[in-house]
Amino acid sequence: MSDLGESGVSQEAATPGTFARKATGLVREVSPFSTFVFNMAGQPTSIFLAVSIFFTLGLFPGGSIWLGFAMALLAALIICLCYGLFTSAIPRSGGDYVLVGRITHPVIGLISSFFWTSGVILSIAFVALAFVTVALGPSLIAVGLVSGDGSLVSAGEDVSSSEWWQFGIGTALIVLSAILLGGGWRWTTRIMNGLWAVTMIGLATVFLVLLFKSHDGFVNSFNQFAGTITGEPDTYGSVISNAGKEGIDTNPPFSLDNFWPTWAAICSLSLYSWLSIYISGEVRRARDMTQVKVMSMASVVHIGIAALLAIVFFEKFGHDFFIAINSLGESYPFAAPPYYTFLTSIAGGSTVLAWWLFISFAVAYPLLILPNITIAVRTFFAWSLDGFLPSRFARVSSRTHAPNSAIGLTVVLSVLVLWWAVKNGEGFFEVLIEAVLLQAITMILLGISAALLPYRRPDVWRSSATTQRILGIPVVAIAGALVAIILAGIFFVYMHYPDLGIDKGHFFRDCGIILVASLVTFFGARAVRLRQGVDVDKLAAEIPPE
Amino acid sequence: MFRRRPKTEVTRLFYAGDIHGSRVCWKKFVNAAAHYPADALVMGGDLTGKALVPIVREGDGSYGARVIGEQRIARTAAELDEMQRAISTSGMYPLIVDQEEARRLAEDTPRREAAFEQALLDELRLWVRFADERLAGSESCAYVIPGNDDPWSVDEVLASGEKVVACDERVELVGPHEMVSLGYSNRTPWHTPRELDEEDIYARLKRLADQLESPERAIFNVHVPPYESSLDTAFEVDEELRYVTKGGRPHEIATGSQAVRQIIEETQPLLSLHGHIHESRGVTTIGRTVAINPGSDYGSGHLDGCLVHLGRDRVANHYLVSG
Repeated sequence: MSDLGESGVSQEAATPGTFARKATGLVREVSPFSTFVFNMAGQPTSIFLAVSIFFTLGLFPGGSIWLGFAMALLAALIICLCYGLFTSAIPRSGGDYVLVGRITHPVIGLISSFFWTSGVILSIAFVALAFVTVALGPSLIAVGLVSGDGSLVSAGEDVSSSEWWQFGIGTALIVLSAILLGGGWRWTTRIMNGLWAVTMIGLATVFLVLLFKSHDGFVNSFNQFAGTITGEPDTYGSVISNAGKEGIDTNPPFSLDNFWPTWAAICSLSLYSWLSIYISGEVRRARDMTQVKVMSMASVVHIGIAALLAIVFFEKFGHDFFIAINSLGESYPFAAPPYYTFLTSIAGGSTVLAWWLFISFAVAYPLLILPNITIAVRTFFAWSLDGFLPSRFARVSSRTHAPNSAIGLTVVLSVLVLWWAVKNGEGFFEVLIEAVLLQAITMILLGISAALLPYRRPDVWRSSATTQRILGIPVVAIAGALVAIILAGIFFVYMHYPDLGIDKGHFFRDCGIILVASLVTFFGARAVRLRQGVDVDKLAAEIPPE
Repeated sequence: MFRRRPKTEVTRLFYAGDIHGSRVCWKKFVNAAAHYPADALVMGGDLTGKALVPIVREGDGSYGARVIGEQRIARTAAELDEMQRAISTSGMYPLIVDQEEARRLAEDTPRREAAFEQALLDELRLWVRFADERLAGSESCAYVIPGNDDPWSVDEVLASGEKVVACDERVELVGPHEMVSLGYSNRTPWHTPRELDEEDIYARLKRLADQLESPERAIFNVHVPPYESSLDTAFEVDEELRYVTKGGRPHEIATGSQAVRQIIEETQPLLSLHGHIHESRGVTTIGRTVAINPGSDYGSGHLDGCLVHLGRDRVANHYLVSG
């Protein structure tokens, strides 16, 4: 009804130098704080710390995660500036599909969207599977080891290794997330905010436990705990010496050659604090600099917390030990992986703490699933509105306003991929790296489209959050070009370093399949709609204003 | 899924509303007739903008204005033109003033209101002229009603158009379909110019519906959506225009008109077109009637609308579009 900001004051009236009159109008639903959480949820810091950073210490010695953090933050801020400005010009839900399609051509928008959505569906299935194999199973084992409860260790091993547990729990997670979304945005944002708070309190707990634990104290706690498993009085020292025997250098000099894959790995879960472009139609203050600020803040908080905790880990666990335990191969002594939650539980020496850290880590997975499902749903919704899917996928529930058909389609596709993932364990993780690169293609197209915005749609650009120029070139164009270069660089690194896990042959084959599928969808739907007297190109295109 | 194009004669209708002073949205609305194409254009009210942006002439010959939260400076005629276009695209009215006039406008409410009304009427005259020129020689007309936000003075401007058909509280023929139009809304906390109590809305709609020869083939063009239809959901605000919160969150309520719902249920027209609640974009059915609210995001310069293909006795296709 009225253009109300959070304060309840008319936005126009609240803008200095503007005179407003009484009138009814638009209210947007998602607050800047919820937008911030949505962007943080797309790359939970706890998962980032557990799986995306420290494996590089052994794989790419001398790669410098510190420089990697700095460069990843720089890249993330450029992306936030670019996409934030871009979406302020076209504040509509649908994300890359709408933005790329409106600026270039509907068929390019659909191609971009196919690449992104393929990555999203793979990600939903991966997160559901990882919830079981990375969070639930290992955490139960870790809690069992810390508490000395063998039944928990067995349960963790059963859950991790059983295909039925993996599929059952993963499916339940997907379906529960979908039901939550079906209940409407209010409940979804409320639950997301709650889950995010739990993960952040968990990280704060880790920080506080280690802050009050000395390095020597950790060594004693570790040896005391590990001795019951290895039978050695100095397992801490053994970990370091075994690393040496496995050829792991715990004090490598800086290596530029190893820096690039380290940076790319860190980027794989730290460049996504802009996902609110997929819900821009529902975000309050979507047309000013608020989204840029919110996205940038999410990047700073995410990478800042990760870097701070990494410093604490190296300081408290010990530099050589931390590198060694994250790099050990066959001589790794425990059934649970060396996640920070496990090591901090050992430092705390408390079963209650171990349970709490497990819970606060595990909830990051449903937190990560929710924005991914939301993105897929919004995309299917936008495809349907433009006539590429049947109109039922654009219908919303009269009670909750949730697009239940689009949610159902997302669930079906995700569960099918999950089943395939469960049956093809190792191949699936290879495909997951593919998902990152498939989405990189979309991010490159978004960058190029942003760079073209001032030239293809000058009126829209002029009414965006800023029209500032540098050396006569619009800021959004510069940022768009930089984004395309950065993402192309990451793409090149993944192609150049096979240890990062990409199979080039499979990747290019799959790219071809996605490209053909998007073209068949576009031209097929266009032909059918033309027979109905509707030109799909025109449905998706801007009406010429002049 | 993808149904075949019906063999019978189809009336192609493009509907949009709530463009609130956005010049680019109006131009797109008029051009939609040729773009999609459409046989008839229907505008569902709330044409006028909500804000006046003074562009202040500075002592050094430059011009300054605050546009979407950003202080912008224009030093050349081209930059000034760009600034005005950006303001117009956002649905606001640019007004070039010197510093003294800007101060007077800020302090003198009647002066500000007069300047505001003058600006919106001047803009609307441009719009009507644009539609008359652009639709001249074509079969298409633009059927336009004011909405609850539009001052009474706009009626005269709308009535002056040749290809703009001012059809508020009238029954017009659109192809083989009779169309009933009403721009009033039910009561709002903003106390806008065209609001009525529910019984008055019902009485006016009933009077119009009784004139229909074939109500089952009719179109309703009613600014306010029907109550509890999913096309009318918005956050509740109190009389001081603050959100009503429950459980720490803004409280959603149905804000549509019970009278509109009642008349749709009784008359069961083929199609019912609505606006008013920008964020409640959607399509639903009430009995056999297909009811649509295409929403509005006028501030971005995108025209939210719907393209409807009407067979003689059925809605053949409908597409929510954003052009």
